[in-house]
Amino acid sequence: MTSGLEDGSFYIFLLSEVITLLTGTLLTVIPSINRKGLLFGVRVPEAAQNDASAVQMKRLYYAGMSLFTVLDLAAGAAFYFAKPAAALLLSLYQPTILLIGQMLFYLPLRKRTLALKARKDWKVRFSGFSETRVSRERGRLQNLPWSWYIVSFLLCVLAVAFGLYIYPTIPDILVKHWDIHMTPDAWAPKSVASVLVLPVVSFGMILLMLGSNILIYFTKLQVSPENPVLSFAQHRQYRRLTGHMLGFITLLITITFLLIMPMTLNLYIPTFSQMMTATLVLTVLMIAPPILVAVRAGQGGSKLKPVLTERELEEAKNVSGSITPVRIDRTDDSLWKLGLFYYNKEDPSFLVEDRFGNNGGLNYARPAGIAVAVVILLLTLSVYVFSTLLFAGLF
Amino acid sequence: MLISVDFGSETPIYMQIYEQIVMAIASGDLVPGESLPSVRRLSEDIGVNIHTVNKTYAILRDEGYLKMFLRTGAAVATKMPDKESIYPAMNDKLRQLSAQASIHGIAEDEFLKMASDAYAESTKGMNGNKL
Repeated sequence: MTSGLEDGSFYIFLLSEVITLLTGTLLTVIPSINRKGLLFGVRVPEAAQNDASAVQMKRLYYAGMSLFTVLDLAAGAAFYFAKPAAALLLSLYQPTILLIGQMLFYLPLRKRTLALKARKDWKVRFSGFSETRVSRERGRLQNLPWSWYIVSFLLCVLAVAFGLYIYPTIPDILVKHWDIHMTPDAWAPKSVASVLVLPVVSFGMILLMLGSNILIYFTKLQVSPENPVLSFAQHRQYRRLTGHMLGFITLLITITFLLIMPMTLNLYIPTFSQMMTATLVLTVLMIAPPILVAVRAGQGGSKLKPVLTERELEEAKNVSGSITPVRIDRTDDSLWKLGLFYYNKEDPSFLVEDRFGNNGGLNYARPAGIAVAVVILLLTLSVYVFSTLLFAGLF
Repeated sequence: MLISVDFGSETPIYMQIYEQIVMAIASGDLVPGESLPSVRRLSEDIGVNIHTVNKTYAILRDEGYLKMFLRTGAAVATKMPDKESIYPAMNDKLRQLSAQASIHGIAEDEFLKMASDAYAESTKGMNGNKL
């Protein structure tokens, strides 16, 4: 244990457990976050959520996923105490295994939901919607919460200015690496690059986060066929909310990077436990907001209760009058392979809202969709392969 | 305005969009000069082929309800077409409707009453759009 505290593997283990717990919680509550018109990735009437069989299936999922998360936490602990040195590897696989567990419960339950839908003869209108004003605003970048990004950017500029100002006074030879006891073990002559590297990296992160924020603004939403007007109003509020959430995380990331700067410039050397505690706290601060937003706002904001304008109320009345389906012989369930992968050749959009889960989905019938999927897959795989090979020597 | 397309309907999708936009202009839900989403954006939203929306916009433009711009996309025309241009088409539709009405035993005065109710209904609008 003492060795774990000293070399930091205990902190990494702790971090892994915390991330696993938070991820597990999020994956467990997905059915309650999902749109009411979706049950295990299958389009159902909103009232079907209260159907006895549906309730039972959701309970099964909650119980199963909770149990799986607890098992994963326990297995992680067992693994750590058997092989503390491989804690980093643990932190890579422990949360990922949850996704496999999720599929183990989700896929059979989706099949049962499809059967239930057929048996109960649930009919949902298969429709497409566009709110012309919302549509024009979608992707309009002046609506982004710019202030978060501007403040983060200014912090980077400030850090560069500070670094250049302090540059003449810092020692000519800088410690660039410390061992696990925080004793210096590598040095390098100072250079302007040593001042610039962290602000530049955090500037890159700002751009990355801004990019994800823009993608959210472009993602096409799943509209509730039973109340499309409300859906659009909810999505407007949701976009604002996620925008601020991402902005907040961006600021946190920037602060995190800039906090390391005094260390790289040898102005202040924290103790190892200070460093690990800061990492733990900052990680939780970064993971918690998305979970909170997901749980409180629901998928695409479907749990939000925005105040509708008079015009929208009028519009909602008109729509609900015309919503009675005449004839339903097509459904969009078939466009979602396994309820996970959207494949629609007719649909030109490549970023769509997920059917099960709370992250963006792709249209696999579009070249752009496939390209993004391949890039993500390759990046993820390479991280796993590389780190696993790195740790292979331990076993 | 909210455009909703029913994929299960017998009415072709381009027609559904066309009808709704025309209705929205008449009711004042869409005001003259108001811009509409680009062809691409609208087809993404609804989840239909770009050509479908293109067809709708082309018809609306040819009939004079819509102006198309290279950069900004489409907008409701600021000056609507005059009566003369719609007479022939309207005549055809009316003859078709009255034929159906008579087959179903709807008398002329009832038919006229229905027509006047429908006219009032579709132009009642939130802020009107009298040109």
